[in-house]
Amino acid sequence: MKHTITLLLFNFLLSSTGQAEIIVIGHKGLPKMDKETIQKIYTGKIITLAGTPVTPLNLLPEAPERQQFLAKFLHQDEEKYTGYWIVRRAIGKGTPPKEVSKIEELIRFINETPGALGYIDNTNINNKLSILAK
Amino acid sequence: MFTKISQLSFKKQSLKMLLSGLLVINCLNMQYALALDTSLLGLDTSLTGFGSANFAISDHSYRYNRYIDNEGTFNRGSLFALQADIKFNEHFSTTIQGKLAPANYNDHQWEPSLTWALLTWRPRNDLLFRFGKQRGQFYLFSETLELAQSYDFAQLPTELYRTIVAPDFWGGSLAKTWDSAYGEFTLDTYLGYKEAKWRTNFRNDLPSLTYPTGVQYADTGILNSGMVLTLQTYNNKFRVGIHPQALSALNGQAFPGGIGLYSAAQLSPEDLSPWLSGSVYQVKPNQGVTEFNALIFALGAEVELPENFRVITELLHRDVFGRLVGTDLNTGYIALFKDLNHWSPYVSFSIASSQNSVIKLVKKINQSQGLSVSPNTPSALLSTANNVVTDANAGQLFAADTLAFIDQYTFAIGTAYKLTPKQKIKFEWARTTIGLGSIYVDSPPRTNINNQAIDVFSVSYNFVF
Repeated sequence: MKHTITLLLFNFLLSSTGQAEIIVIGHKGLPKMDKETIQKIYTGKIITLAGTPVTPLNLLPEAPERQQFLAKFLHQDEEKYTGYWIVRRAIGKGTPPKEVSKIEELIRFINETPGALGYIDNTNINNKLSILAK
Repeated sequence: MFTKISQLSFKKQSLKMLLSGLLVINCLNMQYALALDTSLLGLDTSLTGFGSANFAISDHSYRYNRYIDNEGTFNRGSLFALQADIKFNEHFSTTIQGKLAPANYNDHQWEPSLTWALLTWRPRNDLLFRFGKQRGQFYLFSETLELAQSYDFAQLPTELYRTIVAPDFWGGSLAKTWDSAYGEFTLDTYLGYKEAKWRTNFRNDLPSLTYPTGVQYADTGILNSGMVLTLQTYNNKFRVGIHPQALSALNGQAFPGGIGLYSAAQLSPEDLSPWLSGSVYQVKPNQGVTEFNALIFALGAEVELPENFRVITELLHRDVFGRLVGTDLNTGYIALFKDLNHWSPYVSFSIASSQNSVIKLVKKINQSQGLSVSPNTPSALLSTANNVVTDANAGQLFAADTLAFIDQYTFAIGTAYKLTPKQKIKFEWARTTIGLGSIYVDSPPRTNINNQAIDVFSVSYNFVF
């Protein structure tokens, strides 16, 4: 009980101090999504959404945003996520999302590519980007 | 002496190939760091690979699990594989995977071979067709049998995983997925054909016998088909499968059709009959079988437990139709893992046993005294009589080997250590107890390896890039 209260207080303090938060952004026209849909896109189980091909982007494994994204939206750590794709690729069931090394590269690709989506922390948000999930 | 030198040079050759492979992989790794995902003619392409360097040694001079003896081997599970994926668009892609590994047609060579070569068509999110060379989902780890990075066992349980004669095949498969309140269901079906080698060790060292001697590889055609239902929840996986197979002997060969009990009078020339007594089991003449069917039922589960414990278990029952001998089988294993940060220690128990009628027959063969020569045999006939008895008794062991029977269990304790998400090192000590005998033991001629324990120590380094 004491532990739960401490966690709740910690979360409240984080949100009230404007802590950077990972959000999912996408190309114009992509609809808002729930966590389950994002999870399925990033694990290769969804390749088209309402007939439109989706292209998820990942940052490199070293990026802190990637770790936060995996924890928040996929409830996984890097080891489990990498392990999942090692198997899926090896049995011919698809390849993992394309990786980019910089946030700027990710934003540029999303702006230029219909169906593309990725994640950034909310301090990088601007008016040109469509927020798909928070 | 010559055999010893050959074995040593083979082991040196294996080690050399292993080191060369590691060097190539390292070079590829460096290249990979520069550019993994490339664009070829505007197509989305990628090159990946994986490998394992496995060393296993036992406490016996005879071989267990094809390669393992007290001199140690790198051939039980070591390999290098490269994979290229080309994505044409969201719906079509192709995968080609090749490997360098110990050959499947003899115990002394490595060979390059194609593991996967397939065209994938995914018309919808929930449908996946694969055409070409691929792996069947026989068991939990059969599709990724050689991708040792994907599991924590240093050696997958021999009792169950050695039942796969030909893991890959040319053919087609379909996977359909759907969500439910319990998790995601996937129904996989497949159909394909493969020509493989059926390995048997025959206890025969007598040139006078026309039987095969030592390890033999029989050309076998296998028509694989199956249907597998998998339920994947967030942390757990449950699987049930049924796999009908049709096996045929190729190149004019035949599978032994059965064995019978023959008296001394039936086996010896008339002039020797009065001086010989007893009876022996022999392969029935002219009763070879050129084809037979098998049906495999498989159950599997991987379940997370509290306190970071994890249990993996699989059960298999194989029925063989149209062949009187051997291969009907019950096998299974259970393994308990504890995930401790980078470490995953485990204990496992696995068991395999042929059907009761075969076990009873093997017991009778083992108890059979065979033929014997009367002490009153005239000296002029003694040498011939002794030769007949020696051949007949050796033929009895040969007959037992055609049964392809299994009666063994294994306790293993081991651990995996994750160096990085893409590298593991594993250790395992396993004690296998052979009951009446086992097809997985290469028993030397004129001996019965039964009621013996075999200790095997394995160390394995696995990587992907």
